[in-house]
Parts: sequence; C-alpha cells; structure tokens
Amino acid sequence: MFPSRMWKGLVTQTQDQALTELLTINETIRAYGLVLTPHDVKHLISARNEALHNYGRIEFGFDVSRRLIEEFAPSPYIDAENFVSVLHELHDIFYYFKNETEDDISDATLIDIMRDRFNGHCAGSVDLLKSSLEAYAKNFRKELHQDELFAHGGDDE
Amino acid sequence: MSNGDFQALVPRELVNKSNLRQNHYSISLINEGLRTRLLHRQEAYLIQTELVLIVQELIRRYTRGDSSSVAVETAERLFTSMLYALDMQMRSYERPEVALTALKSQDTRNLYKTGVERVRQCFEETRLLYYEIRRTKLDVPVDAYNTTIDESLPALLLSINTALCLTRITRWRVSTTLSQSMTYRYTAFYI
Repeated sequence: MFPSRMWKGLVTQTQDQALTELLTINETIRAYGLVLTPHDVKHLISARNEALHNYGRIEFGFDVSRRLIEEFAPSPYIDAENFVSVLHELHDIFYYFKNETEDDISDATLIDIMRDRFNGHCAGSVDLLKSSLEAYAKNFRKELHQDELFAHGGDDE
Repeated sequence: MSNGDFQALVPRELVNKSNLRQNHYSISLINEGLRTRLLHRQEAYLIQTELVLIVQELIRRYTRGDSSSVAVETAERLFTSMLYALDMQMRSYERPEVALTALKSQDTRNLYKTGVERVRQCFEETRLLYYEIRRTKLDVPVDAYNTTIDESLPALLLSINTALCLTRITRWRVSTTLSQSMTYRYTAFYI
C-alpha cells in the first residue's frame, strides 16, 4: 500500500513555500498590467491540486504553475479580469493532456504548444484550445504507437 | 539527573518479529521501532522525508528531468522499487534492532544505494541461472516450457535490467518493479 502520509507531509511543506515563490512572479507580470494576490495564488494552488487529483498524478514543485503564469501573461487575450480564471482552466488542460500524450511529451513542450495555439488560431478561447489539443493528442498517440510498433518489429529481426 | 537521562534508563521492549511484514519490511520496521521506542517520532519523520526525496530523485531520472509530474501508478511503482531495495539492505542485518540502529545512524540514501547493489548482485546470479537453464534446456515439444525459456524470461530479465538502470532509460514507460527480480529468481529455480 502506498504510504500517502509521507507524501502529504512533504507536499504541505512545499505548498507554503510555493505561495511565497509564486507571488514573486508579480514582478514579471506587472509589466502586462497583471497582479496575483495571495488569495489568487492560494486558489491557483487549489486548482492545481484538484487537477492533479482528478487526473491521478503526483507532482513535486510548482514549476508548471510558474511557467503557465509566465508564458500566458503576455498573451493579447489575457487581461486582469480573466487572468486567474484562465489559469485555473490551463492547469486542468495541462495535466489532462499530460495523460493524453501518455507522459511522452515534456512540460516545456506542452506549455509551448498550449501557448502558441491559445494565442494563434484559438484566439484566446479555452474551449477551442481543448478541442485543438484533443486532435493533437490523438495524432501524437497514433505516431507514438506506430514508432513502438516499428521498434518492436526491429527487435524481432 | 535530567529528564532525558531518566528516559534512557527505561528498559525498552525488543522488536516483535511477528509484526514485521515480508512486504514493505522497512516500513513495518519503522513502525515497530516507534512502538518499542527504539525510534523517536522525529527520527522516523526524517527517515520518511529522506525516502520521499529518494523517490523524487527517481521520478526526475525516470522523466529525464523533462516533467515535474508523473501518474500516481508510476510514482507507486518507483516507490515500491525503492522500498524493495531498502528492504534487501534492512533484511541483511543479523537482528531487526541492528537494522533500526543502522536506519537511525546511517544516511538513508546510502542504505538505499547498498540495497540497490544487493538487488543488482541478486539479478546477476539470476542471469547466470538463466544462462544455465538455456544451456541445459530439454529438446521437448512443450510450448509452455519453450515459450517461458525462450521469450518470457528474457523479456522479464530485460525489464528488470531496465529498472536497475533508471539513468539509462530510453523510453519513459519502460519500467518495472525490482520486486520482479525475486519473482524471476523463483521462476528460474522452479524451471
């Protein structure tokens, strides 16, 4: 049985540090007219935890949250009004597609793809971003399985 | 006499071996250490934190540093692998009390590394046994027998080797628990 208490202790410890760490991003995003309050950050952490729980994942550190904030803050479709709510949804999308791409895509690459599509043909629509990524993930898996098939075929020879 | 000196004079109950589990031996040893007061709560907490940090490092290697999160199942597999190696080391001590002393006084990471080395040696013995089986294989038309020796065992051997060489993983999803090495060993003996 997985001793969940051990994880819980460490995760709680790092979440307190995360609050302070994520608030320092304000120095960067202020240039785009955006500010995260401690209340916003706490909610973001909750959204992140909920997404991790929903998609059966475990994460150490808050690099993904930090990168999502930094990469999406300069978007022309983000403003002070929608920033926090979009970030909530982006966390959900990110962990969902980590699973859908079978953990075979790096955090940085997935965030880059999300940002480019959000700013590009999705024009700031989170719903369109989801649909676009569904198609991407489907193709990605198809190619992945084809590669595996060839790799196995190569082993047999 | 200070309060601490007085506590040190209180006779401590020895570990009850029936409370030690074959599966997750180290965890049951820590629990038993707490029960018998051979281990303080703070010491147990420090050991647990070290174990989590080892798993964190294994996850980093597993994802090649490209991902900060993994599926719960993957984390569980890595955690079980880590515990299996630590268990190998803890079981190697003459008595559980000595194992507890080692846990208290030595670096948990080093204990884990020594355990991994023990598993590796066990794996090497298993590998040699397999070669012996291949060499003495009977020429009989029994599918189950031939498939086990020619296909299943080499695949298992490869997956265990992969788990032992986490740093050299070429595919993220190729992973297995070290505990399979024992399964393999038993299988090899059985055949």
